[in-house]
Amino acid sequence: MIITEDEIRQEILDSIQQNHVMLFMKGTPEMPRCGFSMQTVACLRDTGAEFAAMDILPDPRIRQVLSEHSGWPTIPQLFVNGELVGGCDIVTELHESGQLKELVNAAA
Amino acid sequence: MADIAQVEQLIRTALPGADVRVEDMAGGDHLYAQVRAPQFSGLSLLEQHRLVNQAVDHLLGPGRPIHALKIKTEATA
Repeated sequence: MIITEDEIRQEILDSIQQNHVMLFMKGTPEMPRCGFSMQTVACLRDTGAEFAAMDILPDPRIRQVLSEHSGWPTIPQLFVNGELVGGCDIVTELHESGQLKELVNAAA
Repeated sequence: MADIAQVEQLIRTALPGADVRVEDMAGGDHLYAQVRAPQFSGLSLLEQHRLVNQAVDHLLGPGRPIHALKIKTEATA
């Protein structure tokens, strides 16, 4: 099956729109494939909030299209209510200050 | 492999007056940038990090000298 870049873009935009808390990461929450993604998942899990995740590794175009959309160069990327929150550093900083929990719980 | 001094200079150029410290966390391509800048005042964390990322944009990403850039920002008066 051949997937076009437009279809990838649509799937990314749909996932951001349909999930209040949406994480783009390397690997899956169960099996992260990068330390930064793993740390971000750990922060999110700690909040107790539900979140959706998409693995960007299966197709290099996912990352390319995502970064074009968000203007954010690295992975992971967390979106809450359709807005980019940031990557691993920002999520960690917000988690440590308690703001992440407020943010994701307000989103649900 | 990134040139630490060059990365620091790029951030200083983008944020005049900033106090910038970049260190190598692992292997020369995982860097940690600590940036204190007056330009951060009133900006969200996302906007602050964007300013730093933009300064080194062309060096950052897959196949480029910087694989990962950890950022810590602080607004100064």
